[in-house]
Amino acid sequence: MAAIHAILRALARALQRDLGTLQSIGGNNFFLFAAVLMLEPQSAEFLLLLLGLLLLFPLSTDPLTKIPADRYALWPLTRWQRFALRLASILLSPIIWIAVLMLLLKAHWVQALAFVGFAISIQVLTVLTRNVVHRAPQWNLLLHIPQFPGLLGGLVRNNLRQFLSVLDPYLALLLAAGATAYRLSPHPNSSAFAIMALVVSLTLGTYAQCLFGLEFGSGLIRYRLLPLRGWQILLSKDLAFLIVLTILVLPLNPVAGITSGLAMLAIGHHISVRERLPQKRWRFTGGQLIPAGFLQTLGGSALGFAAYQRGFLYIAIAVVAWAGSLYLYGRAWDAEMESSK
Amino acid sequence: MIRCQNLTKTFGSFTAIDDISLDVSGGICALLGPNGAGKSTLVKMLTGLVPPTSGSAEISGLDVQGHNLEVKRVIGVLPESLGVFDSLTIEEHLLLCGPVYGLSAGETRARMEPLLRILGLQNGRKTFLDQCSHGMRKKTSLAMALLHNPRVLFLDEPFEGIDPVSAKAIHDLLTSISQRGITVFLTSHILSIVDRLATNIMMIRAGRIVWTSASPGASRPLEDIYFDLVEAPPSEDLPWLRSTQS
Repeated sequence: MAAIHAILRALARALQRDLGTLQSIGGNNFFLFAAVLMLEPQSAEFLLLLLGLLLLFPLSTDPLTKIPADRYALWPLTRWQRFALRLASILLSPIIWIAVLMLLLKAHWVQALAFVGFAISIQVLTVLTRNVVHRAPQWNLLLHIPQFPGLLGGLVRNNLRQFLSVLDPYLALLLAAGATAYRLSPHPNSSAFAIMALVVSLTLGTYAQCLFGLEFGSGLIRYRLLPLRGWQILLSKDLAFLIVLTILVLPLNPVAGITSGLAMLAIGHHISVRERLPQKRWRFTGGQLIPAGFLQTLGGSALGFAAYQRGFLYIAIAVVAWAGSLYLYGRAWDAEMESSK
Repeated sequence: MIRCQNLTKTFGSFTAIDDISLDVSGGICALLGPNGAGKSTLVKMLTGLVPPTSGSAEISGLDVQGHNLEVKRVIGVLPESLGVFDSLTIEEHLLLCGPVYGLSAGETRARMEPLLRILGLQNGRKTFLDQCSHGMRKKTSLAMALLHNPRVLFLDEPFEGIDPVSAKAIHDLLTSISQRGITVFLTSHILSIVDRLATNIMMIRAGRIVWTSASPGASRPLEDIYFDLVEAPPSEDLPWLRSTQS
């Protein structure tokens, strides 16, 4: 019994820490946007539903997978102890707590059960995908990202893969897909596409604040060893961001989306270089909501909308702001690397 | 090729490197010492990753602090932390490095193939680094250090965690490139390999060079010299390991 108790305590601690990483959403620009929309709850419903759907992926993880498989197999536990551990670990799952909460809030038990079933099917899908990719790596779509040409091509590929290993682009993809589907409706409002392009850009904007968030010790050392200037390293990050953004806003309104994205990067460089906020894979990124996130949302949306309505001048302002920021924070990166030696 | 004068590095009140001067031109120079002796700090200072508190270092006649970018172009480094990206495969690391060091795509591929073969990385070339063993990660980092044909090679513990076949291949590779005029500076704990490989050996303890192979008495076995001068193995017993009860 003492062994099970010790393992469960360690599991609970690991789960608690894991749930803590979901708090990053509190520093995400999209959260700020959804919070503002909450003033009129009906408008926020769809966005929160999308957010919740994506959060189910990390939440539905089997708690027992926190124990390394080899370690679990090596522990001298009887069959009954393993069975007890299996049962008890299920109770640690956040999905079970949410289902219980739903029941307490007087939801019908069928709804609570349907929620648990949905979460389990997401988990099954995740595990199946992982196994397929493990056995047949060619099914890993990230592996097919090509080497881009030029001096920074390899870095852009690496940065693109990093960007695609956080949840933000997937939320942006769902939003872009929904807005693209709206094009098929009988009388779509053309301004809606510009606004949706801005929302997509805003959803990706927090990542512009943490461009180095997934670079830990090893990656940073490589940047310091490569014969590259700070602005080149930052440019390789920006290009990856702009590639994803361009693909997503292309069917909506690329002028508004990309102009807004350049403004997001221009502001985000400051936090990316100065703060280097650490991020976790397969979570929403968390940046600095106030003032950086607020400025990104306001500045990016204003410039993007102005570019959509009035054209060239505002695109040029965004390009100049981005290029200036790239130069300044490239130098700041070089200085930072010197001083952090 | 590698020259430093009175190099010192302090972290607060702790002196990691204490007034080291050395001059290495050609051959394979091995730095031996226990954990925490200052080996990696010295390599970091010589490669420009850590600035000295005092003193100066030069690589191929270039001041490491003043000509940082030029120095980076002429050196190849296997750093302590390996400097690899988890989201790239083994071969993608080399494809990334080639253009950064001015190699064409064709030249990068032409150099990559034999490197992967010699280092035994061919079969896992499409494996992401976060799925590779420590040995494969280390060999990838070594391949990155060699790809652009550096004039000076810095290797921080290149043989630790490497299988015997790859260790032999690396040994032969280093011998061959040093004969072609490339200076190799490496750190290691494995005395037998260092004894066979290095043309010049130094021992470091508490941030100071305490012995070099040019010192008197160098004909004694390396292990004896190391235990005498650097660190003797502890003789303490663990009585509970002799008990039949767990």
